[in-house]
Amino acid sequence: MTPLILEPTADTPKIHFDANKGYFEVANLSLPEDAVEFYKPVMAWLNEYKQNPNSLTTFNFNLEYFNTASSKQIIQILLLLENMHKINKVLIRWHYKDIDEDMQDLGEEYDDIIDVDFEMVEY
Amino acid sequence: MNTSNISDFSKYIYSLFHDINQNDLEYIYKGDVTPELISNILNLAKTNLANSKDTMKVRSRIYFIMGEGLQNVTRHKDESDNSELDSLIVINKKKEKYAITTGNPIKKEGISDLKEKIDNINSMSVSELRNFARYIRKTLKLTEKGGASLGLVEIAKRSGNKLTYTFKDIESDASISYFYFNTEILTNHIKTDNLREKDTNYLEKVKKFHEFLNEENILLSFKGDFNQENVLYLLDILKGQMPASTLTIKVNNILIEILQNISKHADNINKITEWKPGIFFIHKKDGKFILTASNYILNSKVSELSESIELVNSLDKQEIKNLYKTKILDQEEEISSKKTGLGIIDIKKRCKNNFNYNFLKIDNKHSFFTLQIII
Repeated sequence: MTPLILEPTADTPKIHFDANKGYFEVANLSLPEDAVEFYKPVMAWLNEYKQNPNSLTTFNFNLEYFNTASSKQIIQILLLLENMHKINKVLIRWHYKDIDEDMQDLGEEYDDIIDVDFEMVEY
Repeated sequence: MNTSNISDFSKYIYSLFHDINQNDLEYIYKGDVTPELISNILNLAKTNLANSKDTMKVRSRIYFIMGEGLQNVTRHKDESDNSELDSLIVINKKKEKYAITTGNPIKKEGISDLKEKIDNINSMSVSELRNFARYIRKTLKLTEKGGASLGLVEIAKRSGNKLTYTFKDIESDASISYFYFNTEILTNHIKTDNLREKDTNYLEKVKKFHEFLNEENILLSFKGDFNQENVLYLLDILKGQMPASTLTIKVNNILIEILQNISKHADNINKITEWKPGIFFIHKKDGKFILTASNYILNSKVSELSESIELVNSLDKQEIKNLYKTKILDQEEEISSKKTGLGIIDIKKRCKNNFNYNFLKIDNKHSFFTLQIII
């Protein structure tokens, strides 16, 4: 499968999905005005990957901040991963700055909502 | 003026806001002025210039003068050892006139020199200034001071205006004075060889306003178009202004929501749909950050909005978490409507305080909506 690599912009995140290398990352920040539009190709790629995923998918969220419009899309990614996890193992690594209480709280809350293993990674 | 009373504060904000026109802009910053800040402010000005109808020539002149004016603040910065004293930057665009005003502490012993320099520039004609600028470039090495001098000459020459300035004593330090400096640029300016006299009232107004900013400890205020680009520059500016801590990260996160809320929901009273006029303040009081944002809103939306704020205010921590969960999983709503209220739920979840808010009825169609949050 062709990797999906989107370079970060002033208001959209870096996306790096590479199935062959087993590398999955959403990083930087996500504040687009139209989050639905931005995440469309991201969701499309993941939906295709879901058809034939690796036996273990380690998925990194390494976001500094994101707006609520993006949070709805991130939940969609998480729900898709949850669905995938029923057959093939998924591990979510949620990165947050040690002083960022909000990002830590969000990771813990999403961990409650989503039935996938979350690893909280403080940096 | 009592900023902790939301109804009074909102009336005051409205008085600052009501006569805003498209492409008008007011940007007020009080704090430490760094090269990064200057470049962010210039970027903010640049987007607004790009959207204006001014010619390329006028735009580049304005841009140049802004850069010079702002750099003057950093040039003088090291002169005062008193770190308590902030610098001030006010950029104002009203119809055909841009005004850039800076205020910064300087040593009193330097005042007479500075006065002499500016008065000398003001006594010259544009062609004399041109020769003078050449002379400085040729003969003086561009030391800090030489650079500042040349900067002032260039500002006067390009703006076609006399330079206005004033000083103000500082109670806490007898050796320091505030130096206020103002440049105005007319976009429809007609070139003549003589520098024009300027109205000094504006500078007096800024001086007064600075007292208000100091009393309330307002760090930043922005009035203008809340388009996405401006919102991103504002976020950068504020991020640079506040050292990273658990509190300031929270403030930043909440800011994103508040600023994007204006850009999403603001209505407009002069039927120009593509711009979202709003005004925003951030101040710091007793160790807490207070964010206040105002914009026009259609009267027909008022009851729905106040109901959702009241609802969010009435919920405790656990209830907010539950509501957040329901809303974030509800995909239908996001696609069909912007009014999920997820933004305000998210803010309350992060800061755990209730919202202050106010609706000021303007006319049959519009109200002026003010939302305030304390973090």
